[in-house]
Amino acid sequence: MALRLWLRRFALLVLLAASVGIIVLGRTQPWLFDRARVLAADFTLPIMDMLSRPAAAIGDWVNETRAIMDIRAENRRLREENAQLLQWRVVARQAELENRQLRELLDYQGRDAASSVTGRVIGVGGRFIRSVLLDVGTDRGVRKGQTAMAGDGLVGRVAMVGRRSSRVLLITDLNSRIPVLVEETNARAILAGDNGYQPRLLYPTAGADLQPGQHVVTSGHGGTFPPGLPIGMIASVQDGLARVQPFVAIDRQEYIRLLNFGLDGVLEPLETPDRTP
Amino acid sequence: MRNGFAILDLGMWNALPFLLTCGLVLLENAPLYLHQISAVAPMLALISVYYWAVYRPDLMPAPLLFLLGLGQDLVSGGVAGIHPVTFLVCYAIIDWRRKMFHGKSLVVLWGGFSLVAALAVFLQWLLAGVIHRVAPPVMPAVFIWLMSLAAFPLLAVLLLTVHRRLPTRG
Repeated sequence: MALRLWLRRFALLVLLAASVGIIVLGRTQPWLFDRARVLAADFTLPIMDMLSRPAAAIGDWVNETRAIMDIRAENRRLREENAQLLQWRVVARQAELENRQLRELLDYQGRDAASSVTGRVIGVGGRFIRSVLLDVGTDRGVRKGQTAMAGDGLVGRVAMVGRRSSRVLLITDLNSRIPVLVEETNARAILAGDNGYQPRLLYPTAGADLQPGQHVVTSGHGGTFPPGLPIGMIASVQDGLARVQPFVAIDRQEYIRLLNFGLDGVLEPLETPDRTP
Repeated sequence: MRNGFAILDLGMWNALPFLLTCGLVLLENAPLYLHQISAVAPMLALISVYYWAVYRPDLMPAPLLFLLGLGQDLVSGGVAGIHPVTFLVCYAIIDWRRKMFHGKSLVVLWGGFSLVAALAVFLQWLLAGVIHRVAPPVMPAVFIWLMSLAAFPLLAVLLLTVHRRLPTRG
């Protein structure tokens, strides 16, 4: 009996040591587990898809109820917004015309997405990782590094692709670093996630006058994202640290669009921190 | 008269705790499509691991826990090894202090889980911090712990129902 007890404890110790070994191995040779992750995602895809269906129904229901509860306020807000948008439409038409003329003058080569795929969110990341699993993979043309958007805002980029599934590293993840531009002042910075809902703006250009309400877009540096993709608005500036409220409530999205801009900039494996500013 | 359950293979029944925990691992990673909830989802698999480690450690041996943890890490796309460490450390603690929890009321079992869950969240938070070399925010970790505590009684009732139908040890 005592021998069995000691044997059990010994096995526990060996397995614990093996687990720590796996963590270390995963850090030094990240590719080793990437393949396993992709296989695991592809393998569990049908079950994850099934499990996410009732969640989608409940999510819809809760969001609907919330919407009904403040339908009056929402209606008023939409009327005001509509009035504003009608004004903007006039401005936009003028700008479009002007743009077209200027582009013709410059012989401009547009950088539109060559293709796009829409995937359904069927899984979320681990506890201290902000990522989502989509039900589209290489068989639908998804490639590593593609830009993930929902509505009008940037959500993240494809970090791993399997045959039938892909994982998107969100802009809120601890490892996410995106070169951005503040639209109003042209100040550059790095948008850094910290697993919270509002990523931070690190290393702003000297003298950058960061103010709440300013718009943050991708700058296109580093070649990971094309320039000008909307991300969010500066929500607060405290002690020189600005936080950005993304335009998209990322974890409320059921569908995410993956755009192929034909970029293959510097891409780190999912869990490797990218520390270069 | 032969009971319908008796026809099922004994091995299948004994595998039920493991299979159930596998299901919870997947459920834990399912999206909820609700704002600010996904990041603080309860540790469902840990509840199951805790329950079986207290009542039927023979059906949830350490190698299976290792596999479960590894599966959890791979499915969630996280750093491989974090969950095996968490599960095994929690298992070791329960193994060491089993008499404290075993055969006690649900409230005592719940209290024990609150300690084990706190340790698990802290371990994962610490490991994530060490691995990424940045301290992750503390509040989500606290909420994960609270959500797990809230989920415990609900899941424990389900596990108890399964437990009662399992063939006895030996």
